[in-house]
Amino acid sequence: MKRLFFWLRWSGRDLRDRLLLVIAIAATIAIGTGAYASLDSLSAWRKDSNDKSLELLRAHDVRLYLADGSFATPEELGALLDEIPHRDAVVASGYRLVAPTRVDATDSRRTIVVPGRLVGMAAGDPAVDTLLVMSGRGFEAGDAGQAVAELEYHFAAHYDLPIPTAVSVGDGTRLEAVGSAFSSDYFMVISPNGDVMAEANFAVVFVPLETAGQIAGHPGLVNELVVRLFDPALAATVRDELQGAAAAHLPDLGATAVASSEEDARRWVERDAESDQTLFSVFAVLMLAGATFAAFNLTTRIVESQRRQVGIGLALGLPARTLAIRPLAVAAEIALFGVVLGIFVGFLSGAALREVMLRLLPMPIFETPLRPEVFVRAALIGFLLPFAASVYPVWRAVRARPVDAIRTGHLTARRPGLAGLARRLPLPSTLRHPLSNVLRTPRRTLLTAMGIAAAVTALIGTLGMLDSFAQGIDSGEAEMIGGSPNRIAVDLAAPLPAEQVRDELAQVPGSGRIDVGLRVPASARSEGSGGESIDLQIDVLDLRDNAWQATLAEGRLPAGPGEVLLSRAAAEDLHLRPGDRFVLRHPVRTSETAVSLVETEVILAGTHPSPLRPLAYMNVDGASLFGMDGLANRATVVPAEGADAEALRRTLFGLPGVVSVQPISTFVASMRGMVAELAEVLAVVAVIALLLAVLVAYNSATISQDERTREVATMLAFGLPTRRVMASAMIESGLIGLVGTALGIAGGFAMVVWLVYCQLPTSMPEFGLQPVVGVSTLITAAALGIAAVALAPLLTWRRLTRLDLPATLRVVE
Amino acid sequence: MPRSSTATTRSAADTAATGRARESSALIELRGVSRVYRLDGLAVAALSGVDLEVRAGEFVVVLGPSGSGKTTLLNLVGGLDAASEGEISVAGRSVTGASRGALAEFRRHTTCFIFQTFNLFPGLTALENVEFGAEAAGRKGAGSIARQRLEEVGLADRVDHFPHQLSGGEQQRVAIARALATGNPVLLADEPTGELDFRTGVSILDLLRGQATAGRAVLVVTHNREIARAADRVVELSSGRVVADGAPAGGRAPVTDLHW
Repeated sequence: MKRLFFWLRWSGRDLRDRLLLVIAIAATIAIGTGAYASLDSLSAWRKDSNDKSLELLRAHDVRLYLADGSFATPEELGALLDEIPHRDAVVASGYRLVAPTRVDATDSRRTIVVPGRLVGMAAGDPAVDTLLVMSGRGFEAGDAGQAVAELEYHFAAHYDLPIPTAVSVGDGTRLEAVGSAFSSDYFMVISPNGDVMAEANFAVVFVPLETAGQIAGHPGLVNELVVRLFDPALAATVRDELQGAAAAHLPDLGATAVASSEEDARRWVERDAESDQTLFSVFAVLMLAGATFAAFNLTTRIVESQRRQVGIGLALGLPARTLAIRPLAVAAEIALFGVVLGIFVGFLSGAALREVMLRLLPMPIFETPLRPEVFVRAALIGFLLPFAASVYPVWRAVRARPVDAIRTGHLTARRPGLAGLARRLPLPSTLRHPLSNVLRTPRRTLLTAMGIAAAVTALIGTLGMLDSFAQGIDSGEAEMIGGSPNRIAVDLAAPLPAEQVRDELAQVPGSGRIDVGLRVPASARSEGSGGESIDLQIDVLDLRDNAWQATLAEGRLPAGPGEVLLSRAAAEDLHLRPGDRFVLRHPVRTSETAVSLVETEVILAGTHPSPLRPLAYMNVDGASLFGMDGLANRATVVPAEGADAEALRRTLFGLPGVVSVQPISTFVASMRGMVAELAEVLAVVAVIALLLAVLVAYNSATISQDERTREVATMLAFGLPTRRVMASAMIESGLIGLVGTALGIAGGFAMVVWLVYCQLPTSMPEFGLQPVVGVSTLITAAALGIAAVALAPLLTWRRLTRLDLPATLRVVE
Repeated sequence: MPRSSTATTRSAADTAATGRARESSALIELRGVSRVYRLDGLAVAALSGVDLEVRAGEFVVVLGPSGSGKTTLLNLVGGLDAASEGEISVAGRSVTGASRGALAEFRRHTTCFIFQTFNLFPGLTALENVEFGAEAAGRKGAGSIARQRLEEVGLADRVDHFPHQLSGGEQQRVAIARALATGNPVLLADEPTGELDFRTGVSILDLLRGQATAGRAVLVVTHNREIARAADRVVELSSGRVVADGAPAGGRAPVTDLHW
């Protein structure tokens, strides 16, 4: 044991003698393990925070809602609870009156008129589905029946509405919004159309139950029952029992019971967290792989530098296993140090990601604790790989013949490697010497280059994804605007004769050009898609005479009723080229109130470059396919020259049958919002990759200088100025950086292609991108992988100028 | 091992360089030189009050046991280290208190080193190693100079070999060729035969002796008394002080008469 402590103490001195380098290698490992621990935890953080937030707001476990137009008294709904076998599982219940409405929050600066939902709830502090007030005040018992409201948090935050503020709902009932609040049903705002993150286009307004009854014209009535259970696992059971009780006791009200896990908003949060995690886990592994590979290479070289001393020990007769303790201990201590530092990096990166998440997906509670199981997994890899790096060189060292190991020339290459290649090139010696050094140890050069390549791959992978998103968004924006940026989209509650719609809209003061059309949901599949179908949103309009101009990526515009223009991403998913046939599953209007689903074979006329996969277009004669000849459920209005666009929007929204009036720019903003979360997390990852690459460069340069100390001292002894020696080291470092960067760019581009085509469809199925690596990304990679690596030896300038020439040049006197 | 013909084969440039050196009275001058190392509060005097002169064309051996200060003396003369006290002048240039840049320039143009462990660049061939010396000294035509030097040391047929492909003696001869390629007037050798067998060592000594004949000041550091017999002068150091300075006992012996 005493001898063991001796070797461990010696290994501690080894660390102290190279403290800066040890810290740098440990920092490399720390970045890898810490980044892995935080990136791999994002999904768990979101889900756990979501659960805690729901708990805080006493979210319901089961909801019973009545069919549109049906209402009941609270007592009638409450009586259902007495009819279910698991009545004792219910710890609290509440009643709500929910009605679609129009919300007008227009102020002096802008017009804000959006479709929305009025939710009447108990004033005071309800036992189920309470609100978490973020600004202003909450409901008080005295607010019952008063014209006060709470605005849903995301809507208020999106428009930066002051609190208190005046809003009107329905046909103009004015309310005073006394606060904005989180509600457990709207952590993710999903509109009735299914649009997610829809707070710009859909507002939820909470009012006291009595107030809602007055506004809706149903005083004293409700249409929802919400319950909390002592065991949420009973939700499905209670749902079924409530459904049965409602069918038995209130058969004419069309009641439906749902468990909270089946609610759209909650399912979306769960699914989004899981699908995003797939992408983030890829980057987590990449960070860890890059860091541990770099540490592997560097630790190997540190242990290699001890070979002569191991040989001396062998010559003195020490057993190999004893001699192995010191270098193995050095490697283990560096790795352990790195893992411990990784805890701090994990906290820091978790904090950075938390800020991103809170900004993009706010919810009442968002916690990012270090998850031990994830960190231990990362730590094991972060420890084992660099430690494993020491095993082979230690094995080589203890197997060497002592007489060979103690010769000073033993550390140099046995063969000149590829140095002979340098001789054949007509280069000045200032370039030939560093090139020779690089070529004479091809294995080491390649390993070092691959360490740099790993960091550059991570950097290109993240920045390339950001480039791909940016290009996709730009394409999407251009396609959406289509040469007419001022258009206002008007959605109708039901299809109406197209000419009637056109005429009514034309009479609105300020209306300019009007184009009418249809928007129809459908799905598509093809032989090449292997049975998988993708959802589409088909706009049927006059493609050749429209304020909006379609952008073609391939093929041509649809010419007949059986031709469709798909997004490039959808066409790729379906393995279609222009001219190919595929099956469209779509609704057909058989009467004013009846719709049936049919399948029709259609032709792909061409593709457009928008990244939004579901967007599809057909020419106006395609309306016959849906049984909607001459009908329109959607229109676009271009404001007349000089018209007040805000006033126009307000007036359009007031027309009967209009459910939504939005400028095109709102849809563009929503599209950008969809990728914002992913893009901001990637930005954090890119910073981490950058740090990693700089560390790898510094470590490589430092170790190279250590390995060439005698050569450097000889050059200085011959009178070469220090700057020339440094220049040689920088050229050598730059050459390795060039190789590493080239490998890294190739690897990074392959990574972007794989992420875009293989991973993104899972994380963001509605988005289809083209893999892009921008010029600025390539310049950044070159600057880092070549320039920064080439400049890294400058960090050792002080060591170089303080080099003890006599001691380095000779054996001890 | 072929004998070199160093004594008869010299370039015109080398002749001019050493010719200029002969004109001065002493090429290397040390006056009251001391070197004290301070290690963790302890002061260790490696050299104390050393006076020494070496003229052009002299082959001087500095002799002493391990720790006597002989290598420290060499390092001071070569500008690799700085004296704590005293004055050092080499080829008319004072190196006392010189800046780092001035010392580097001094080493480029005034001295050339031969090390016990050769210190060749492993990634360069023999020819390229010697070219390095010429280029470092700023001499034009480094390639042809290098070939000439390698021929002088008997390695004309090994120019494209890397150091690990050469024997110890051959490596030391490449190191000598590299030093000679600088054309500098002062040749400093630190235990040049320390890693070599007797016969190889003799041939190396012969080469070094030849350089003194050609007009260079040659200063060789060794603990081997037998080698000192081939010197024009022997300076003996003990505990950092000069304890003897004069012709070898029994007069200078030919290199071929040496045996160790």
